Amino acid sequence: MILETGMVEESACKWIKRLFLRIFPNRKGTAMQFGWTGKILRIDLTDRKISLDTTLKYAREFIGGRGIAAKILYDECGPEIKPMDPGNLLIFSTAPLSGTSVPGGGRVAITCKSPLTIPEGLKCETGVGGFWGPELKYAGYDHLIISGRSSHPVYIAIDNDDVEIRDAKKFWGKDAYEAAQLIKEDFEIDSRVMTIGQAGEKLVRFASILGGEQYSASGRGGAGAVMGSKNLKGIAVRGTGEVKVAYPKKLLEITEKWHELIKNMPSYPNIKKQGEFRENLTDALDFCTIGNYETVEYPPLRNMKPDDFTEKYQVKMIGCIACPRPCFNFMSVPGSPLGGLACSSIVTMATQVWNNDIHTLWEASTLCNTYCMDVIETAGCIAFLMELYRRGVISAEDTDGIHFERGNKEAIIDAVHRIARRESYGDILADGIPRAAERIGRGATESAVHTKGLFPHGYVFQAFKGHSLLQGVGHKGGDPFPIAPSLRLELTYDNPLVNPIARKIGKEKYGIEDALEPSQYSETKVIAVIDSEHAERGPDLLGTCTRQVPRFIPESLALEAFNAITGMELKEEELVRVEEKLVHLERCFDVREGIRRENDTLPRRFFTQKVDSGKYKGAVINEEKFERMKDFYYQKRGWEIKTGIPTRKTLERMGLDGIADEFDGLGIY
Amino acid sequence: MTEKMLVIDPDKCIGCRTCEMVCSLKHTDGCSETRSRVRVITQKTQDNSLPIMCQHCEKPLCQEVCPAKATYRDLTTHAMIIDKDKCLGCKMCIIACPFGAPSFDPVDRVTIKCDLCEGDPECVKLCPSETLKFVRADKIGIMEKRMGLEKLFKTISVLIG
Repeated sequence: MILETGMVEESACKWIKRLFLRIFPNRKGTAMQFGWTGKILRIDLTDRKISLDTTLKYAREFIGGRGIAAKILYDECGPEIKPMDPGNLLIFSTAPLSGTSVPGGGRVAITCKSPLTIPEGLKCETGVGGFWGPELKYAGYDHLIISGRSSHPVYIAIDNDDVEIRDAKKFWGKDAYEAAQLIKEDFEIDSRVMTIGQAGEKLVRFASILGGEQYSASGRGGAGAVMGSKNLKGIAVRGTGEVKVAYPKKLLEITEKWHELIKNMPSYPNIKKQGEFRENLTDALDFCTIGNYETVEYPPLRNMKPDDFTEKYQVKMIGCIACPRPCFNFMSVPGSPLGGLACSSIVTMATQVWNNDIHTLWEASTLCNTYCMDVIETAGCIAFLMELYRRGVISAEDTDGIHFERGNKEAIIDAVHRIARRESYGDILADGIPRAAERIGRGATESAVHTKGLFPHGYVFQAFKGHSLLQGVGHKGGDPFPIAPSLRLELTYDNPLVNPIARKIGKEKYGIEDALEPSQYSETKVIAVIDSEHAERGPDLLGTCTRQVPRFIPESLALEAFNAITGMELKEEELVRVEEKLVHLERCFDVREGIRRENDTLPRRFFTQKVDSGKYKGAVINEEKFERMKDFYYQKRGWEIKTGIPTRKTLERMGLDGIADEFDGLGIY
Repeated sequence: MTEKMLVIDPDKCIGCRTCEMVCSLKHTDGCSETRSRVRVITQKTQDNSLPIMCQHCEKPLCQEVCPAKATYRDLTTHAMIIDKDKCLGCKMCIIACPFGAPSFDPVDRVTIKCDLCEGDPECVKLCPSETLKFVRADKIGIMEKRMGLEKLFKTISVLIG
């Protein structure tokens, strides 16, 4: 009997609580006890000060994740601070969806000033997946902000409320995988550890941060070098708390719906079995460039047999927390460290370096992961060297007797080692392609392909005008990725299966049937680019993954999940407004660092060098038309057409008045 | 109602911890690994992981050691359940369990364990890798036999060529 009454009481209590919450929904929003943990952890490594801050003052304006991080970086990291200075901040951010049952909640946004970009110090925006972010949230923090510089190598150990800065001398010099294991043993076996490898220690400008698992690394922008400059080897987190959810039942339903949508994807069975390995090494070749953007067709690449390789070595497919779509091929290949790869890291070490041997590809890419540096940038460096060698600018004497012929396997592996350790010629390349080109001289700058200092993704930009605009005006240098489905369709427009969908979307969304036809410089393309820029920021703000939202999952469902978790009632148009505001804030940060219209451009060869073969033979970007597209883009954004600076009126409309005043003071207007 | 059992296939687990998330969401007001009834243990090198959860033993040690007699069997689902109100939080059952399946809830201050969600386990519904299955008890034996036979045929076909 006691049992029964107890049960009744409990359910009645719950019911009353729910009723109370329904009647006062706003109360939940203000209390912010759901979704957010409400705390920001600040660690100053110089004077070893650990302090707490509140998320509340930022969350209303910028929701979470990348948005709040951008705001903090803008406020506290002025143009006088150089990327490698102690004053640079390294911000790890989670958002309301992190650490819940929503797939993609494992993403962590990492924000700092980038040492790689040109001009130096633009905002670096990168991220990792896995399990570290949720762990940080369970430990009770939304964001972790690291500033200062330690006098000796240290690692940070976070065990819920106990935060310690510990000595890491014995881990310095170890690779990222090994260091993570050693730190785990030193601190707490169940913790999640982010580490940097030797590349970060040596301040290789495109070093990355390993996200706690043996597959997910932060990739682009050089956050690892910033972490290395702070003498910080790793961050171990152990959290036993929880992320409170306002409407658990509703969230459970949304999670079920989300899983259903992913499982209904036509490519899902294949992704589950083989991941993107095969897709990247076969289908992607149709719209990828080869080498240093030299050509588009290289027949030997078509002989690769990714299926055999995965069948032989694959342990399993692996992914991030609570996600049914495993993105990473986790393989045990003899001679390479046990680990996983996904996406661009698979394809670049084949296409960019003229390499059709999967073993070399795997070894080079996993080596990049253990040294912890960006695979795309490393491949770009090798491609750059190969072109210089071919042009006769450098010879084997300049590279320690190694011949940088196209696809030379020995050269590829050697270059990875040397760059990461900054040895001989690797020391020059470790500063990024444009800086290396200047140091080499002898006309090497002609071969330096970069946008704002970063090697672009490997698309045939000459053929895809929308993509080229996105790349040109994009925030992260060579990194912007087409996220909105509309813009993505430009890539596969000629595919007979995709064409009808692309035409339909063109008609419905932009009113013109062939709006997404690759060769068009139309205004609808500009709008598609703007859509894509917004679509990229949505998942980052909410705390889910751009690989799912909005490609397979509508943004509205992610928003529904956000509302169910936080108990708020955020509408779609409100989210878009925040996304737009974030675009402007990020632009303003870059403008303050010196970005103007002339920086929003593409490598020279996209304007001069015609595509020499394949489907898009003869395609080239007409500079005049490209500039006109840029005009329209600035106009649409409300930026000054002449300079590319957001106007005062636009900033006021966005609610960023403070920035306009600051620009006045700095003499930017 | 036919008796159903939870079966775990260790070969398939990808270690995504979806089960932990949905379990804690179903039983509490939040997502948390410490408050989940199922815990995924991943090996150091990350190539192996496995969800650990209550096996609802026929002769449960947790019941035998419980000083408060808080564990009982639900007769409709055949699940062993800990009565939250009777539990002292002494953690004896965690030590006694051969799998270490029960865990201690740091918020409610009681020991928690899988209750099969009243016969419709949420973790099984959402497990993306089909590691967790909820099948009829009388089918388990035959299922295992069939899987064993498949492996045998595979080996034979490899041997024959």
